[in-house]
Amino acid sequence: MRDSFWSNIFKERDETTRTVTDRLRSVPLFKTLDNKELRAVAHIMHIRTYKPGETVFYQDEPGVGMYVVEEGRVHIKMNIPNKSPSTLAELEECDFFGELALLDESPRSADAVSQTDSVLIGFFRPDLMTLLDREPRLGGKIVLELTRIVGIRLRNSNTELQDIKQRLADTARDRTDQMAAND
Amino acid sequence: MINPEIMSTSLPPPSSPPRRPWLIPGIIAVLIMTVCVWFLWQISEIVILFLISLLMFYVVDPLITSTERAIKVNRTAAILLFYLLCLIVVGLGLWLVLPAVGSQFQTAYSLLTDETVQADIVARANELVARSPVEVPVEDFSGYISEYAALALSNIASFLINLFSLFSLSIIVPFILFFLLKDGTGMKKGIISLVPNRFFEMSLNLIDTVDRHLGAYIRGQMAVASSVGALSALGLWIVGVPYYFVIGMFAGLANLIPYLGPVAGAIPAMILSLVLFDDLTPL
Repeated sequence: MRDSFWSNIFKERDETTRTVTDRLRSVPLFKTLDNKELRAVAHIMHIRTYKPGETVFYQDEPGVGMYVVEEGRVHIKMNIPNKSPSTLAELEECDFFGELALLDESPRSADAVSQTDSVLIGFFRPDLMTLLDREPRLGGKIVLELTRIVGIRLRNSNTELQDIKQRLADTARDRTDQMAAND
Repeated sequence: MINPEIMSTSLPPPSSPPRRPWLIPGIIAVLIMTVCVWFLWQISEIVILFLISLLMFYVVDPLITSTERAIKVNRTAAILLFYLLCLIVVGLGLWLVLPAVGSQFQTAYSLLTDETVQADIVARANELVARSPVEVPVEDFSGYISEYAALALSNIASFLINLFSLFSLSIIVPFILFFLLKDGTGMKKGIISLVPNRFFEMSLNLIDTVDRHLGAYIRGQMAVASSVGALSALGLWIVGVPYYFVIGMFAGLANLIPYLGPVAGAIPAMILSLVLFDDLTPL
């Protein structure tokens, strides 16, 4: 039988795990996991709290993993030389960012800055590697979903690139036609 | 006449005390480090036990992970299974091998600490040196041999005996090891959670890199030491050197020390060869 001291500790831990599990359920990366698997993942997650204006990670620094916004708001900002930083995305509860760092140690492509008091759930590459080592089936599910998300983004980027190319070509053709008409 | 304005501008500004913003934090850091070192020194026995457990953790952890994956059990079950296997192996070892090894230890110890034998070793070493075609300052050499051989032999022997009589090693280390194996990930997570946000990702990366490389290094060293120990014992057994197990084990352990280890590991075998065969030829 647990005494009050231990029951408080276990209760707090259980509640934290439950909250994290609930939050993870709404993240596309973990949507294929069942309850038991979600609990296993929740156990290895890191909960971090940030103050308004505090940087979660910096552009060009080596990436270690991804974050899920549990509470608060985070902005992704890109620093361009000789220009003021441009905000690429505004993330709120259940949004996630930095997932590419789960795949390799490439530098972060932008800053992530907390705009309010925020609570983030961190999932990092060393933990994913441990998971792949200990529970390959579960780790494989996450990696598969990650590659699927990256694949979708790549496809979207390709479509956008094609669109931009098409628009550029149209603009160039219009300009040529206009110049020919003027001549 | 000197212009007072020029004079006033050329004068150095009134001296202000040099600013040393690092001084107070530096003193505090040194004080904290001193207190930490003093505290660790006070509990050095526990620290050593913890370090031994940590070394064993790096060796055993991959085995536990492989067991978890291979027979699809949870971590606690895999650890318990490992402990059960260890108990069986140690039990069988105690029952079958220990009497023979124990007698080897006892005989080797009594032989190495016997003053007559030590004098004999020195005499034979002197003879060998005298027979050597290379000019060796025999007077100095014999002095060194008698001094160091006696000291080293008694130290080696007492070290080996003490190592196996350490009760704490056999009880506390497995206990600490169990918790490191079971909750190692949680402990690491707990330590990392204390790191401020600015250094969090860097620390996580650093700890992971150190962990991986240190683990690989320790596992590699252990593998090399075991191979050297086993092969030395086998080789010595084949050429007929007695106490081959003790010497092989010492050679394996000594091999953990970079550069000097292999040489130190060969010394007992050379001494025994001198004592028993009057020559280094069997080696």
